[in-house]
Amino acid sequence: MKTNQELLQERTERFTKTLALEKTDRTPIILMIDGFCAVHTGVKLSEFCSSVKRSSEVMLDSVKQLGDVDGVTSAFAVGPIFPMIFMAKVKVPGRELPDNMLWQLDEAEMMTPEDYDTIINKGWSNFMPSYLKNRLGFDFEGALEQLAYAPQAIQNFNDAGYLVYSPLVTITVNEYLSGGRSMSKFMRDLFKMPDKVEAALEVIQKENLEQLRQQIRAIKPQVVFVSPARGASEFYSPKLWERFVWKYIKETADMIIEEGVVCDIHCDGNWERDLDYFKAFPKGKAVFECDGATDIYKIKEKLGDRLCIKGDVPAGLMVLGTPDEVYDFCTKRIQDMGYGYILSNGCTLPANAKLENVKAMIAAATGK
Amino acid sequence: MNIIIFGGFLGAGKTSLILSLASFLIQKNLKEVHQNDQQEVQSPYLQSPYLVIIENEIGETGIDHKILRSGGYEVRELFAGCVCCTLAADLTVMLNEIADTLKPQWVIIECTGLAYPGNIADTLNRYGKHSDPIRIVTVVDAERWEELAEVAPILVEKQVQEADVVLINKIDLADDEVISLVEDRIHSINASAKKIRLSGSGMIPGSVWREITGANGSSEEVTEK
Ligand SMILES: Nc1nc2c(ncn2[C@@H]2O[C@H](COP(=O)(O)OP(=O)(O)OP(=O)(O)O)[C@@H](O)[C@H]2O)c(=O)[nH]1
Ligand SMILES: [Mg+2]
Repeated sequence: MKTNQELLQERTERFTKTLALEKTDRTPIILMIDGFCAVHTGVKLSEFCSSVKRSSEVMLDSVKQLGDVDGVTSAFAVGPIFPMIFMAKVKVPGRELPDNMLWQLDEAEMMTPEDYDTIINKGWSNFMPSYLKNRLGFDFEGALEQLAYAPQAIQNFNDAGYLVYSPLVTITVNEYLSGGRSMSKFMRDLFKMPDKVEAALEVIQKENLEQLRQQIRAIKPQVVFVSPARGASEFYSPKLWERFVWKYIKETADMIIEEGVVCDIHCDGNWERDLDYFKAFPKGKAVFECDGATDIYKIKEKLGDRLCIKGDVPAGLMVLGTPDEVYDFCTKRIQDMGYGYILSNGCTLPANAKLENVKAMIAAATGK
Repeated sequence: MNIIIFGGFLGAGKTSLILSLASFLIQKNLKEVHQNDQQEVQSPYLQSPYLVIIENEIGETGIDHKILRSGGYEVRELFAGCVCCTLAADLTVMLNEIADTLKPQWVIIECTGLAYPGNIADTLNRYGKHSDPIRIVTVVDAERWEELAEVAPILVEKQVQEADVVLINKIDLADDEVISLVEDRIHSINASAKKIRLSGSGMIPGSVWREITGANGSSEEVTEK
């Protein structure tokens, strides 16, 4: 039997080659899971959400039971700290919600148009912490304290033989504002005062990039996860998309690549109109992560010789499908995508996914 | 089980219109119960709701549960866990459970403003236990149409494309000229959909809801699924 250390090495090698679009013994499988692990191991979601440490322990427990996966996307659940990512409130089980209900982003107009000026004049780091604390009632210091456990959480997964796909996560800056203003108001702002929005975004982007660069140098991750959460082509006209989404994806990815790290771009929704833009990245330096809404065959056709592709197993299939359907779907993806493909969930595996379906997905990758 | 899905961009007026449709359906049901059985004091809807509304939690207008419980509605809320996922799977699970347990005459589903009601209907049709056709009603905000068609053209156009009925809402906030332009544009995207102008903040004539529900067949001869 292989030791955990040997397993980790084998999986890391398989993964590294896949990122570089090189030949491997088999397709790696990386699960994007959180709430599912609580359901799987019989832990209440309220307990699961109580801390970074607890969610991480539960996730590791669950993954160990699932067996031969190469790794997980994140080493802990990010739902409870969504305010730091989306600048919006989150309702958490055991606090605002019953013990076994999944967390829910509670988006409303919490940021005002005047806040754009504050950000422009005083800077993002002088605005954001007090906004989180005072306006959203979010325990920012508490969250930072909890996040200090993240390196240990990653270490625990590694010690158990699993790799953690993206130890570092960032978001395209427009998401801060669309979450804080609410998507609806943000779109109105883009129509009525695009220059103001852009000026604020430039300030945030500059600070964000600098901070991210420092984090990359400190953590030295293999992959950085960039989420343009609602940046899909379908949500923006071509002109606005180029100006308010792509620009920030590109700048962020370029910096990450410049630091010698692979950039994962988490492309939820349908990006078909704009796939050609992604040809801008050098071979093996970026991952296109898709959730079933963008036709993966189109991604493969346009970007397959350049970008690693990750994801695509639809959330709905994992909840509603049968193990045979899941197995067939995953097997077909593995065959059709060839090297440079990571079998993974399209966005997070739903908490109510069927365990047999998760096992079928793993079996498709491992051949066991 | 008659199913209607309400789609339409954030804040278009989906919840406001659903509330109006809900009270129309409840009143219709009350009348029918009284006509059919004058003696029966205990209405059957008290045991199992006549109508279930499935709401996404995010929304400007919440549904006041107190009003609803008294009227034979029941509201279910759906939680996403993530900003981007469109919930179709959870919705199917919930709908199947409702079909097994509550067996209401009507189910009204409110989509999030960024979802495609047609995609949701596809998932429901593929995995759902219901057998009746699903009707898709897309609500368009007349005042914001021009803006949203410029900012997010794929989204708002696809929402219209998939509709059986397009409700052109908030006509109190837009000039007739603008409304006509919106209607023309909607017609060019989806010629076969029925288009109805209205205002969710005012009174909505019963004829609008009769049109939408009547076409579904079982609103007059109440059949159990
Ligand atoms: N003036 C005017 N306001 C309306 C009309 N219909 C709805 N509203 C208002 O528009 C706002 C949004 O209405 P909702 O019914 O919550 O819209 P929704 O589509 O359910 O919104 P979300 O669930 O947030 O996507 C509320 O403040 C309503 O009172 C209308 O016809 N005219
Ligand atoms: Mg609503």
